[in-house]
Amino acid sequence: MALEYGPVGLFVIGGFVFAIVALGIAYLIRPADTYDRKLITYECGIVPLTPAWHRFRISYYIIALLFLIFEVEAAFLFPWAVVLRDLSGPQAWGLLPLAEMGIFLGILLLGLVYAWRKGDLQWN
Amino acid sequence: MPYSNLSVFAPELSLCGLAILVLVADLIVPRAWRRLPAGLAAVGLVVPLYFVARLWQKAPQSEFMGAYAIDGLSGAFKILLLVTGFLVILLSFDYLRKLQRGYGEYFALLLFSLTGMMLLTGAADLIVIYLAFEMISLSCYVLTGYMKRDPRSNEAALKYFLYGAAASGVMLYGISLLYGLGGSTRIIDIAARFMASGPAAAVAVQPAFLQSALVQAGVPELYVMRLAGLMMPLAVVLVTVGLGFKIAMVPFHAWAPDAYEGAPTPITAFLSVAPKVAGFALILRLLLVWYPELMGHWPALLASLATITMFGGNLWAIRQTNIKRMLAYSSIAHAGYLLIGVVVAATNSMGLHGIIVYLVAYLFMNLGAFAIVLLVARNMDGEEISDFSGLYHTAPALAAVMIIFLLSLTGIPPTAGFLGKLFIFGAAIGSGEWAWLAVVGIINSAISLYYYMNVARVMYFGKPGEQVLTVCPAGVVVVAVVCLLGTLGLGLFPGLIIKLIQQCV
Repeated sequence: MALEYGPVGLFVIGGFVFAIVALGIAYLIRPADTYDRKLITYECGIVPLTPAWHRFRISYYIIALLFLIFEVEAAFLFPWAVVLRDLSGPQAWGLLPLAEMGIFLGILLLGLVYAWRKGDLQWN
Repeated sequence: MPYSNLSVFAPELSLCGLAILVLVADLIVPRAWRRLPAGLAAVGLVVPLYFVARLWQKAPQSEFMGAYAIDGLSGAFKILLLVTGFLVILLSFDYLRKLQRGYGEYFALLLFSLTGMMLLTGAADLIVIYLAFEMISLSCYVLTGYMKRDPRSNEAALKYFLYGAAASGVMLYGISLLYGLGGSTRIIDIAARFMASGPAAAVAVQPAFLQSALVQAGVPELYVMRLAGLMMPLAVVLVTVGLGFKIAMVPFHAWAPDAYEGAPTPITAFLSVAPKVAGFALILRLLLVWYPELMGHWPALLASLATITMFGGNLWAIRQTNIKRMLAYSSIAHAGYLLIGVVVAATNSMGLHGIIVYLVAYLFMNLGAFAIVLLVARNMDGEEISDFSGLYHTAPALAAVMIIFLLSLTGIPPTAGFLGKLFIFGAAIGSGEWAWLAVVGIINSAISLYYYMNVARVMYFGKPGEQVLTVCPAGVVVVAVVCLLGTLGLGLFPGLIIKLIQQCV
């Protein structure tokens, strides 16, 4: 029945209402004295050097890419770690699950070594 | 044994391992020996080839819970892919001589791309199909833009990437609809679901998830049926867009001329053959599993697309002055001829054999033509058709070999191209229903004669330039000779290959 989706609809509406009410009340009761200093981007308390729309070093891109790869690797590691005990041992597949993750990590690590050796981690 | 089925994956695993080995070797060996990893890449292809040949003799099977198929069809396509990869590696040695950085990486990327293509030939699961698609595309984008200092190469890579990303998104949407309607990502399960629901008419399908959700939501069943009847063709069309991009089918071809012109010439040769081989493997698999339950109208759709692809490719090719652009449009036209085979293959195994014969012929004649283009460009420092001017006077042998490739591309006996066209058009005529496609194909072959023979005219009657051909890189010459032998051998002794294909596929 369509009514089964009712709670979902209520939840969505409730979410919007909550956000609008909370922000609206804050808008009404907060003191409004803004000046230029206050409106600049908050960057950990340091005065920003440039606007956000400027050219970034391409090195950031490589670092971000490497970071992303190892981030995703972690996402694969957790489910693997959860089932490892059930998969391993003489009754199941022995050391194979461990070896498989070793191969996976080895290939990823090789990528890091490759980037390092090719000088992509040099910062100059 | 729970993991014995890895053996069916041996070709792809060994190819992937080879690519990693090439990367490591590139890391270790000193710069003076940088050709070593590249040579390793070429020689190493023997290993996956051996595994493919061994699996080819076994009975068809599917592994990984039906997600990956091993059969004669995928075996034949894998051999074609590996041969293409080998010849392209040979073409690349000389072209990359001035490359400062990333010499070994180039070959590793080529092998990774090849791995994706091999995966695509056996893919029987929507997720695997998409994964293989991305594996191919990502490597190819990088390879297209490999000449970083050349603005044209950059432009080509960007256009290829933007177009490819859009096509991949569209295809993914189609895949999601198919999954929603069929309730599984395995193509065989989706087919089974539709078959179980009775007659083949697309309107009468019983979509699994969608139906239950909508009917529970109170929508009358009749409307649900109609909705599904509309969604199924939509999903098939969206997937066709993704496939059309890979094989450069009109109207999804717009990226091809620019990407082909700007890419390094060996990569152009690679792009004009290998993705097409992989793409047609997938088209055939979808057709063989899904026709007619899911794809009752697919042959008709493909027949119209084949027609505009042939006409588009051939008519645009006439106007080109750059030989790489001309060959790009010619490769679009060849995709059109191949599509005729697909249309026929829905009902007739002749079409299937025709496609494979045609692809073998196309591999040799197209790579051969690119080898000659490389040789001329190396000496004349240009890739215009006018650079071929008077080639007959400065290098008669080269001109003669080029003529053979051009004749074969046109489809004139006794060359491989003739055999391919004979099979495809013959199958179309034999099917009765699609005989008109053969007529369209023959008209288009006549059109293509004009621009192929235009190159011949320039070579034989044009004024020779001052430069003579002095540099003949061994790798390129070997490819030219192999392709010449292949083109003529297939044309003169067709019996052998036909027998092999009919036995195995």
